[in-house]
Amino acid sequence: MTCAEFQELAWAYALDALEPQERAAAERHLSSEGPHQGCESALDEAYRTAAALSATVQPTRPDRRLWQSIERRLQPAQRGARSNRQWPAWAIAAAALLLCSVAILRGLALRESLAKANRQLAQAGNVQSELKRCADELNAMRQSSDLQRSALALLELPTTRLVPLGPPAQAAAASRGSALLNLDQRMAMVLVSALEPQVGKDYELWLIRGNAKIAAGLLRPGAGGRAIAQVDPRLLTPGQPDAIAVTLEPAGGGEQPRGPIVLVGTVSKT
Amino acid sequence: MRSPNPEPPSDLLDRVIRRDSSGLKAIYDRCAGRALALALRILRTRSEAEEVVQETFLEVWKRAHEYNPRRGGIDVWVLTIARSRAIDRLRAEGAAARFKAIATVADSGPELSLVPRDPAEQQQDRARVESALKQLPPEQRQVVEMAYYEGLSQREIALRTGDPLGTVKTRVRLGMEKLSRLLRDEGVPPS
Repeated sequence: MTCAEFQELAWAYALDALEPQERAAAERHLSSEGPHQGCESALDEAYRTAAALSATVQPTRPDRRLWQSIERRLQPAQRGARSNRQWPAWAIAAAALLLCSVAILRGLALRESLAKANRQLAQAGNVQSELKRCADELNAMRQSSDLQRSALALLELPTTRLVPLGPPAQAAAASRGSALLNLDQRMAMVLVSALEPQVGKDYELWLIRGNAKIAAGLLRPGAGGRAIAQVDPRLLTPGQPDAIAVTLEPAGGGEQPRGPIVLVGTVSKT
Repeated sequence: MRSPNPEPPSDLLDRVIRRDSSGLKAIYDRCAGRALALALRILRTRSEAEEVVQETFLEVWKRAHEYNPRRGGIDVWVLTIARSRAIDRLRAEGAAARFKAIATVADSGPELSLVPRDPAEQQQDRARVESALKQLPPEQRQVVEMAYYEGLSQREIALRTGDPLGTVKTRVRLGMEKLSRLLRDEGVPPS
């Protein structure tokens, strides 16, 4: 894509009206090393113009409870630092459940965590740790929202294939994942959950073609063991991989897998 | 004026970055009404729009350091986040099905309570943007509004209108270019 082509797309980009593959191409151009000829300023102008359209909306008075809800969802640590008040267990539990209830709206993945949270709340009664866990998870979700949007856009493409990733047959790990693969668009994303962070080790993603194992980057799980990663499109140029795997490697990973396979999924030949 | 004693926006963001929730509250007081209205226009249901507003201000709380003043004022940034989150939600639920289902629903429900009167500057901005929109050829205005307020992609607009995709793309580009020129001429500020 040339700068002139990008600048033609910039208007639709700012309106979020591009198809996922067009958007990905535009983002590749924007993140490519220059020299660019006015791409950033064209995009700035497009954003400002698009945003000006919001002025046509007649403001609506928010309910007073709306701010209260937001305030409750601000970092619990900050509120705790400001007040020595000891919250009763039921209030903490209610806040934990509220956080989880909001988080569930972010998607099916969080629905699992809510169920888990509820079970743990019932079993252990350790509401404070659950509150922190939910808040951390929510933070992690927000931080990866751009990648999530990309994943959602990729999932919407009719030619995208879903490759389930699971532990090898002999393993009893709880971790699960999915790879979204679209060779037409040279796009692939991997989403995993319940990966336990390991001190001094990293999870590494691999594309497997025949006997070749191609390192595709590290997965750094956040709270809840959740991680999302986009595969470098250049690794998809040779074509479809036979399998996708995640291994546990010494910190920093490597060019060849040395550690155990944690997740693996076979890509069908269709 | 937007308020009797306006605090510089950069000061508000500094307070947010320092984890002072009063800074966020000041931004909320300034932008929440428009963020809610925008989310409501896109999503059409009050409960969902309120959730989007919550998500928006939590995102402002976490990403205050990422604000880029070159793309407009804080209000613009907040509203851009609100629109993105609303559209994410819309797309996740399937825009086509949703719009079929709500085609006959009015823009705002009877439960809405409008702010009695906007600050004069906001009213002027609104009048200027509406004036600029009215100066666009109808087919260009239509595609710009469908993209912005309904969160439709150019392909979805083409499907909706029955026009060729290339025509829609051209209309979006020409419409936005002209709108940008008109807004500059009208003196609409970036925030």
